Amino acid sequence: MRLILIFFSLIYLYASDLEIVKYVSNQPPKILVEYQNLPYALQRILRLDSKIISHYVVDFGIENHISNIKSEVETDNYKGYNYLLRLNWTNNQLQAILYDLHKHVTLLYKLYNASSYSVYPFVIHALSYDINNKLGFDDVGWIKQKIVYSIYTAPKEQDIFLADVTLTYRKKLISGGLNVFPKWANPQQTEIYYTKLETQPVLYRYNIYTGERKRVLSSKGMLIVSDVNGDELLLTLAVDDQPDIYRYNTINHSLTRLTKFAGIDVNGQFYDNDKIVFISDRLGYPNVYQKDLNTNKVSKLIHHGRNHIAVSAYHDNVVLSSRETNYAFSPNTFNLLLINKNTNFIKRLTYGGKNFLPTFSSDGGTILFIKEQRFNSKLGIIRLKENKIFYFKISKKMQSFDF
Amino acid sequence: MKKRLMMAVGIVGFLVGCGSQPSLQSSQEQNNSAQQAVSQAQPVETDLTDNTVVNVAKDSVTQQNINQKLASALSQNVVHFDFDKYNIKQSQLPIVQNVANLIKDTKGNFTVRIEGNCDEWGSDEYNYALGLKRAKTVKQALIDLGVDAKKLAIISYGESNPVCTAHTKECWAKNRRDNFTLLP
Repeated sequence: MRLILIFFSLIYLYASDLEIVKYVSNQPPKILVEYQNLPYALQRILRLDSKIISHYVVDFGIENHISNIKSEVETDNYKGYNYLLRLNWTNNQLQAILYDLHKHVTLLYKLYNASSYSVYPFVIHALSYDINNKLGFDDVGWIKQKIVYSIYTAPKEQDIFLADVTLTYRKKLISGGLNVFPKWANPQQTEIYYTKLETQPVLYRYNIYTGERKRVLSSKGMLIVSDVNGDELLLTLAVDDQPDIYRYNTINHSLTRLTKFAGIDVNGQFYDNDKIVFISDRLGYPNVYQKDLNTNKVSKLIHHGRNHIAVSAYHDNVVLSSRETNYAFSPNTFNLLLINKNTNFIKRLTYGGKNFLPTFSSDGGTILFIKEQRFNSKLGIIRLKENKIFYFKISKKMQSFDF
Repeated sequence: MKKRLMMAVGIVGFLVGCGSQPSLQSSQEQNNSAQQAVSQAQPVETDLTDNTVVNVAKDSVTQQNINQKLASALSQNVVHFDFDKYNIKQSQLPIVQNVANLIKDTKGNFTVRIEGNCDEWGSDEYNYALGLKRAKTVKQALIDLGVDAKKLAIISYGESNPVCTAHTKECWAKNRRDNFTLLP
């Protein structure tokens, strides 16, 4: 009997240990938020950011108003929480203090200034970025980035907007006529390239703060900036009525034709320093190809499936929009697939609908894309490691975006 | 004639991609040429008699009428394409022939722009290229039918210029098309 009791006690202890380990490894740290003055809209974005980032949880608790955010922290009052975040929003300025309740140290004490109330989403995104950074998680710099996107307003009418990643802040930048394919022109995100379809397509560089617009290029037929790498642009243009990929240097104005195929070559992306990936229909259907810019060798990048209409690459990973049905007279399905080009690992990222323009974040951990619906669109955010997708709806059809 | 037209369309595929030198103009180049144009501009004195004025006016009115008729006739011709294709279907060949006749039968200096369009399926960048290929195929067919290449220009609107916005198979078919516009 005694032996049996000892045996069960050992099993119980072992199981308890296992449970503790599981708790520690799976539970994200909890942050209690206290504030002096924080409009609900800002609270909403802070909650939203913690869900999208998925590294920590913010909790506004029950009684979260305090008279002074600098008052002493009584750690005994915050059992069950790892960190305490205290905020004060006054005169478009956010004061933030992040306190480690276990180590009893202040991790962050910072002021965030907003030029006006309307830009509060960017202020909260900056705070979320800092919190994530201070807690030592993988970088989420993309959450602070601005988004430019174009939407259909009427036939031959498209406007370009500026927004944050949750599309909470929206400002119309350019309207009147067909304004398409906006692309950030610099890492500081102060200027964009976009194409305006006048008598022929014209590429402009536009400063989002001053409204200054410079004409860069014009071409017959088609002119789109597909990728920007410093002073170099990858363009899809049709110098002789033929859509091919060109490299354009904005400093010395040199233009180099990179593809020479009689069919369709589009969507060029800089890749691996000395390569480009692009979409081509050279086998009779659109698929992903790569070109080595040193050897000029063109090869098929992905051997899985057919009809890939958009691509984005990050190191060995490639995400593409793949047409999985081929109906002329009924709705087609375009899903996003994540493929490792070395291991042929394939992961389906979306299930059904029309999913276009997948774009990797600069750290490769997040993909933004457009989910098109009947009369509107959603901006999708895929968190790859966290295995989560978030959608932000707009009432019109989104044509293109960049972040 | 039909046979000839089909042969002409057939060789389009071979001709597609035979590139000429890039003819892009950068903003800098354009600015330079604009400055040259300004500096070269000299006042021109011309002694016009009343008759000359009347004749010129008459001619311009006549040309305007011709252009209006051509623009109207061109707008009634639409070439439709199959899903995700840019080759001209047999059924669309008479329309291409009709457009060729209209252009060849009209005197004067003018440019006809062939506008390629797509349905809503596919990524926008790919659709712009597909629309361009549709415009280019018809342009080449018109050249093969004897139309002066200098009178033709092409542009792609991708899926941004639908004539039908319902989400039906009839609408998608209507939007996969080339339009013809007389440029001023």
